[in-house]
Order: sequence, then C-alpha cells, then structure tokens
Amino acid sequence: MKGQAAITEYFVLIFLIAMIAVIAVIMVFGFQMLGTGAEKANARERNALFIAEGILSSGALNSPQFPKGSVLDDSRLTAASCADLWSLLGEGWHAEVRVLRDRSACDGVQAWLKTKCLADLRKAEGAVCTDQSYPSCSVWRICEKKAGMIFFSVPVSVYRKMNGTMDLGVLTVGLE
Amino acid sequence: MKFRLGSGCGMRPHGNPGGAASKGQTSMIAIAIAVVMLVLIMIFMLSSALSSQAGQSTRSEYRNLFAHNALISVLRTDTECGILSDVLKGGYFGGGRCDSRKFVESRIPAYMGLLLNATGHTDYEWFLEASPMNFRGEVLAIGSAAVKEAAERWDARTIVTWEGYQLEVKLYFKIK
Repeated sequence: MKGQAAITEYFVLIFLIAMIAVIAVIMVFGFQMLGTGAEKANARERNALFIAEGILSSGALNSPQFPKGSVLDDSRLTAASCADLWSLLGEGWHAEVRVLRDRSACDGVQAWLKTKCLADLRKAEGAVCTDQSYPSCSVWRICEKKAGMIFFSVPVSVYRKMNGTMDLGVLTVGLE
Repeated sequence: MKFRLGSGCGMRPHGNPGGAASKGQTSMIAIAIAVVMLVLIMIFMLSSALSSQAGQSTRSEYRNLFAHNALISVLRTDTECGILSDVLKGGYFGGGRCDSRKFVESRIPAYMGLLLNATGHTDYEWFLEASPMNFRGEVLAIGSAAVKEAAERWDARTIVTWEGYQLEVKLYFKIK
C-alpha cells in the first residue's frame, strides 16, 4: 500500500511537471508569435515611412525648381507611372496626393467674381487628375489601393505648373 | 518511531522514512518550476520592451517629418495676398496688398485645420511662433501656447530670411 502510494505520488508529480512543461512551451510559442507580429507591424510602418520620404525627395515627382524636396510638381504627378515608381522605390504601395482647398481663398475676390471662384473651387475639389482633366483637378492616384494597407499621411506642397502657384496638399502612402 | 512485531524479518520501523526525501524532492521541483516561469516572464517583458522601442522610433521619425513638412508647406502656400512667408514678412516691414498680421493670424489656423483633418490627426494640438532673430519686433504667436511647454511635444523650425533679416518660425505639436 505504501509502495503503491509512493508510486502514485510520483506519477502525479510527473503528470504535473509534464503539464507545466506543455504550458511553458505554449507560452514561449505565444510570446514568439506576439513578438513576430509586433515586429512585422513595425517593419511595415518603417517601410511606409521610407516610401513617403522617397516620394518627397524623388526627382521623378519633385519640382526641379525646389531641389530641397517636398514640393511635388503637378505635371509630373499627372504623368507618373506606377511601374516606373515601383522599380524606383519597391513594389506593393499606393500613393495619393490631394490638394487642400481653402474656401476663404475666394473671400478677397470681387463680389461679382466670387460665385465663379467658389464654383471653380468645387469643380476642382475631388477631381482625379488624368491627361484629360489636368489642370482642373486636385487628386492624383498612383498605383492601386488595396484593402488591408496601412497608411501614412504627410503635408506637402504641390506646384501648379500652369499658373506658377504653390498649393497646400497631403501625400498619403499606403503599404500592403 | 514505533516498533512492532510482524511476520516479516525482524522488527521494522513504522512510519514513513522516505517522506522527508519526497517532500524535499517536491520542493526542489516547485522551485525549479518557479524559476523557469520567472525566466519566461522576463523574456516576454524584454521582447515587449524591445518591440515597443522600435515602434517608438518610427513614430518619432514620422512626427518630425510631419511637423517639418507642415511648417514649410504652410509657409510656401500661395494666397490671394501672396506667398504666406512674404505676407509674414509684411507684418514686420509693411508692404503687401493685405493687412498682413491679421491675414496671417486667420489663414494659418485655417490651413492647419485643413491639414490636421485631411491627415486624420485631429488629436494633434499645435502652436506657431515667429520671433525676430536679428532685428527688433514683436513675437507672433498663433495657436495654443500650452503646447510649447508640454513635456511630450515635438516641433519643427525654419528661418525666413530677406535682405539680411532673419525670422525664426517654430511650429510645435502635442497630442491633445
């Protein structure tokens, strides 16, 4: 009986140790997966930021009149090709540049011109730029936008080549 | 210890002489398991700390880029009164076709509002300060002054120059 009790005690002990070992292994794998997930998210954010910085300093999209960067040329944006930019900056991203229109820009305009000013503003707002709509447009889209992308937005200046003016805009980069 | 006569070989001690050893074994195992669990928890905490540090540096880089681009893009923007940095200069030296100080004080908040809405950063609070560096003049302050003293703030700085005069413009941000 005593021998049996001792054997049972050892079996229970071994069983408990085995259970704890299994839990420990599951915890280690769980931590690894969490850590890998967090690293992957960090890596995607770093890549998206790298692409945004690349676009802001790229000779393909920046205005040559402003060599310090962060001034995108509207004609170059209109002519931009996804394939060419992917070969420069890597693949799997999407970018959108949007000019921000301030309605108070029509405040200083003479009263009889104000209606036309506001109408022009509304017409250009949200209009995607193509060879046909340029320059009466304010949104450029480069490469395909896909579900599940992470996005970074930064302010930019957009140089309007046709009238030589600088508009305030936002560059949004999405990465798969 | 109790002794009794049995049918076995001589007297055998009653009790459980292996009990103390068994208890010792159990204690050793419990200590070993506690140490293993402690090590696993420390590994988890270390890997969490490392990945959050990596995420923080990307976030910091992004915020600095955002602040810098917001400042230079806003100052470069063309308005009905001229380029905003020129209008700012007009506030100190006169000239220009608008009431410069009033115009800047209304236009900069409008542009900052547009930028923060368009980039999805309505949780950012900002403060802009323009200070003469090598001439006498008032400091221009726009926005929430508490942002400048906030512990977790980030900022961008640029110098607007004309004819030897320098104006330092700083833009501060913090999370609301």
